[in-house]
Amino acid sequence: MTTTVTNKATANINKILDTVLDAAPIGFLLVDSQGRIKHFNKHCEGLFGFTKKELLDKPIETLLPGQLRESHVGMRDNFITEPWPRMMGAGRELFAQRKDGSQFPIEIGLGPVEIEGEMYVTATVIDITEKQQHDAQKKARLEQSHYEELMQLSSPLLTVWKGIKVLPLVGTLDSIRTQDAMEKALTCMAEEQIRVLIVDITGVLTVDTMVSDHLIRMATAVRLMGGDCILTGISPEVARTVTQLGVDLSTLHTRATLADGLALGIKVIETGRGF
Amino acid sequence: MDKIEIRDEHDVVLARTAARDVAGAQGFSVMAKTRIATAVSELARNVFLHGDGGYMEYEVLREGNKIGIHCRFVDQGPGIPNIEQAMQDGFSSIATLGHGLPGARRLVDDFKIHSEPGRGVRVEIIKWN
Amino acid sequence: MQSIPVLKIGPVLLVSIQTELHDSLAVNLQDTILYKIRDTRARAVLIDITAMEIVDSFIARILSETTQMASVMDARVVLVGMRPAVTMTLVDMGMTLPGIDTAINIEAGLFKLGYELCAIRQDGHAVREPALMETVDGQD
Ligand SMILES: Nc1ncnc2c1ncn2[C@@H]1O[C@H](COP(=O)(O)OP(=O)(O)OP(=O)(O)O)[C@@H](O)[C@H]1O
Ligand SMILES: [Mg+2]
Repeated sequence: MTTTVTNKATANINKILDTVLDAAPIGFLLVDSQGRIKHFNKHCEGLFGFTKKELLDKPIETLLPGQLRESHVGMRDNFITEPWPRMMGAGRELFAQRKDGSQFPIEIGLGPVEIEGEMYVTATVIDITEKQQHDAQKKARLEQSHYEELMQLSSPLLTVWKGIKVLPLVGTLDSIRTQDAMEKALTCMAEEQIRVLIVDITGVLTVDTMVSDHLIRMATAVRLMGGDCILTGISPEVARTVTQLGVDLSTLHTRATLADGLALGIKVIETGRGF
Repeated sequence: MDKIEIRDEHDVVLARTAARDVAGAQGFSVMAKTRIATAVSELARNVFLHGDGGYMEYEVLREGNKIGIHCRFVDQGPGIPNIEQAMQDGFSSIATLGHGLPGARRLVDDFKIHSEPGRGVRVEIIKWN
Repeated sequence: MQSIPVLKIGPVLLVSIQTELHDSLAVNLQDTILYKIRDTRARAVLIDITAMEIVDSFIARILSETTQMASVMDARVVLVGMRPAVTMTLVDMGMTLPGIDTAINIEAGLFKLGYELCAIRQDGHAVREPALMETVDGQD
């Protein structure tokens, strides 16, 4: 797919093209088959910091970081032998170099043209510094909100009855997460004067001695604050491992299901006497 | 470093309220503030109860954007003959609960204890917010 | 000498600790509570520690001892309003105060003891006459 411009048309079109290209907010360059810069628009001057004089007839490699220059010569020969439009360096981060030596990330589109029997390559250049910064910020924001979501997910406190909160624990319980959940639950109990905290461990992957220890600590803290803690969602597997590990959960009030735990919690609230 | 003499039970209160106030002024979380103040209370009490009195020195630490409190407790008392034993949960030479030393260690981020028999005890703790 | 007021509301003693407790003040408070139980024949003691920012092992020990001593004198102690940070600090230290009765606030504490705040008559006796109350009336 090669564009041919006839001799006659050239003169007229050149003027119009120059005006149009100079107005474009992207960099535009025309390079001959030897890699020399034959033409470029205004935007390029600002982009690279070179004047028209300094750049005209210079090799295109002038605009590349030093370490890329040599390999680029080979690459542009390849392009001439397989000339079709494409984005350069697909999937790689590309950098250009300004006159002052500083580098910036770019996106480049290449297209072959034939003018008066000569092969040329047009290159459009976009500075993506801001886009990259924007993307990075967006990514960071996303990650932050994912993290916050996860932290909340790990310890959402649900009100199910006046004076009763449910803390469903899911996934793997490490010290930091349990500590965090515990602080949140206790603070909430104090602020909202919650009497009963139901800790549901249906979604907890493994209950070993460490997790049991965390749960016992949590129940102890709730009791010291004047509340009652009910542990629910205890599967047969958990009951078995806990017993075989020799963990003493007798200080905790346990129920197999959340529903049973809730029933117990409501009874505690209504009698007001605690366990 | 600021210094507080620890001679009696009132000084224990002085030491722990100082720790609480410094932590509060440095923007410590309520949790961290309570932990450091409680650890200070335990160690200051040991100074006056077991160590025949001594002093506490304290300062604010900054590392990058971390803020911490460093406290040092020094006494010239009888010292602790067996530190390992004293650091165990439930060991006490005066038939109390013996939660002071091991408890204080769990409340702070850094805990160092040094004692030479007959020449007193020196405990250093750091709590980061 | 500084001391902490112990109020009597019907058969319940109410202690609200509002000052920094140094050791002898704490020991002193224990004495006051025990004597007051004997002198007033109180059946229950509510100790309100909402204002306490620091409870170390010494104070915790005094509180738990007081509970046991009161129980020997047939009075039930309920510890009220322990702050979350205090709670977690005690748990970290391994001071779990086994056997101590607790409540989230004074109202819940009274409720736990069988007294409803709103139902206490002018003379200090509960309208709702729970089991605890009857015994006290019998003694009076
Ligand atoms: N500064 C000190 N000088 C000498 N001995 C000490 C000192 N601090 C601690 N010890 C010894 O270590 C033991 C353990 O101290 P720890 O604070 O853990 O318990 P405790 O003071 O006996 O009881 P608690 O602190 O629970 O009221 C003490 O009984 C005492 O023998
Ligand atoms: Mg001690």
